[in-house]
Amino acid sequence: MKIITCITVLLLLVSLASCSKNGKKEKEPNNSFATAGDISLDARFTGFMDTPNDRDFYRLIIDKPGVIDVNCSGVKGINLAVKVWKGEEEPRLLKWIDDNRKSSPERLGNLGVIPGTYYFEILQSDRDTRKSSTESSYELELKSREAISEESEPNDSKDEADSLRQDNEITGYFSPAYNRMNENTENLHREEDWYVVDVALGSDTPALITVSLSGVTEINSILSLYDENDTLISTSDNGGTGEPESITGAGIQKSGSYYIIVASKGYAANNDEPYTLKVTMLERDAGAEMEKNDDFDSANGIVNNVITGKINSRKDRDLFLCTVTRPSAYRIELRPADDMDTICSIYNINQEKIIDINNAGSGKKETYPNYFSDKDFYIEVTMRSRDSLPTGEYVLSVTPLEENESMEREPNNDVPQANGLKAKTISGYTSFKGDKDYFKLSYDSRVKDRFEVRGARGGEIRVSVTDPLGYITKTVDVKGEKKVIFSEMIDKKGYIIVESVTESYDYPYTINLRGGE
Amino acid sequence: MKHAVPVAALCMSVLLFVGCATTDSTGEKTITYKKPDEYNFRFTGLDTEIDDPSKDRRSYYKIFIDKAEEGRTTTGLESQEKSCDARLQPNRHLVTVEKWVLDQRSGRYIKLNNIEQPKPNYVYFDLPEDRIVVIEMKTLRDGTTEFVVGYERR
Repeated sequence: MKIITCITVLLLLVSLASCSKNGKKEKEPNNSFATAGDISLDARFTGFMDTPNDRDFYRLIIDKPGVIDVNCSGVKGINLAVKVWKGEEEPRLLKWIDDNRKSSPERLGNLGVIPGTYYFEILQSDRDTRKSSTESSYELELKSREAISEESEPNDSKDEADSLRQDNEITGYFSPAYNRMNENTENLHREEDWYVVDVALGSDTPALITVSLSGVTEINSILSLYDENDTLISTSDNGGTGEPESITGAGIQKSGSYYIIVASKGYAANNDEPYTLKVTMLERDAGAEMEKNDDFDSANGIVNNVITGKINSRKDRDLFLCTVTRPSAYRIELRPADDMDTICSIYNINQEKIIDINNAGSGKKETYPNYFSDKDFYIEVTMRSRDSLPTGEYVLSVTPLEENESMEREPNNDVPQANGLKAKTISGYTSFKGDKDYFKLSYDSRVKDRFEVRGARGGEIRVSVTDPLGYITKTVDVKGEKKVIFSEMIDKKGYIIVESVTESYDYPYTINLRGGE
Repeated sequence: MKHAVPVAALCMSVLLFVGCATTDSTGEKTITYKKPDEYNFRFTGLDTEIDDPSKDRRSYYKIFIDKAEEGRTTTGLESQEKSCDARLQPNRHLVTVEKWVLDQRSGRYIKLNNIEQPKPNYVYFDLPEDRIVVIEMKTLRDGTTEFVVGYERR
């Protein structure tokens, strides 16, 4: 009886010991591909770092495509790394997982597999002193799952990019944190997920691509879009940690493959919460901006005087080319989204800045009532960099004004730029904050002229008349639409100066002169 | 200032009898005056004792006839003659003068303080038919002003 009891207890102890290891043990020697021990999915395998330079190889035969969550537990005092190889005859290194320091586990959340042979190599990282540990074991677990629209690691380069269809979503993980095989000095060891979208444009009309990346806890992500010549089309790095990123309305001019890169900043990883990536395409509406239009060469043309656009990052600048068919004054209006404080800048055809229009606050339209040009010109739309990124779109309109010889012609901001008079009526706008409009008076003899000034609705102007040298001899203030009449001597030559006290960008002022009669 | 009217009258009488005469065919002296056309009143003014260019400011005079603003003279340095013409009804009139100087900093003319205005700054004169009255105002270093009233000759 005692013997039976002893045997039973012994069996139980053996059984318990086996259970405590929670899996199958490695069989040394397994230090090479040739001696690798076979393992299977959804099982746990334990092993030891018998020597500081011990390497344990495991072979996995895959018979159907899927995704594997690779998890190697930590060993106290030892910094483990995992290399994943593919191929029976000449295995190729797929991933090198070495995120954490000693005593910590290593994990790759979504290794994509297809039928074939894979090897898992457990070794010690060179980032900590290598040691042997014959008492504490590591545990390698390969959890399999069916891949449903999921990224497939390795997708770390253009050649390995996962295919992504338009209007479909795909999920992926910011996993692992480092890619030690990424030798790109600009983003050394950065783990990147590459996706490729094939675009076939049905007509000559360009398309707009929108790429949306969801936010993931503790991840500050960055999203980039490249064409097949590795030219960056757009990048989005607007959101903070846990926030989404989006490239909106990037212009696609031609058919071909376009590449999306998803990466985290600061080598952050999240093996448990996936991100969602979505790509949508729209045929370009001529009335909508098309990124990338960040420089003069890629400026969007404006069709039918109106275009809508969106600021995609704090550094985004949208450039538009206004084609001038005949010399004319243009009313330029920029209506921002409610949460947007815009700056609208005008450049001449030589790309020299003429003026910044930044008069109104957030959500308020910016206006330049009468920009005159006889050549094509550019308009740049930006936002104040300290503001948060706007959610809505802006509308930019550039409307040619009816030809009117009495209308002032900007720039006429000083004596040398003074407008000559072609009629006995002058009309003008307070075009920007502190605007000064100069008009030149010229008569054959000294005259006493009569000035009938009607102010601009909602504004206030100060009208002065000068001596021939431009020194002011008389000044009147005109508020709103009030009419003020005064006389002043003109010594053959003089100037009228209209200064803006309170701007009115929507309504003009007028001055009628008797003209020395 | 209270002597301005007698001084002007004196000057005018001097003008009437001196320098306006021509000799006709009989050898008698006759005075010929210019007929009014576009104007029948002319005012000229200047400062006579300025000899330092740094103190010679750009200026003009605002002219009031019978207490209503008529206009201003041309602009010029204080030492230069600045003038203004007008068409007035024949009558006795009061001309008042206001001096403005250029403030270089602001680029505009500003009215001189009362203490710096010409003294006196007015003169009464008679404007007859068929005459052009010329009033010459000369201001001395101390601000004292001398008005000379006459008729414009051909």
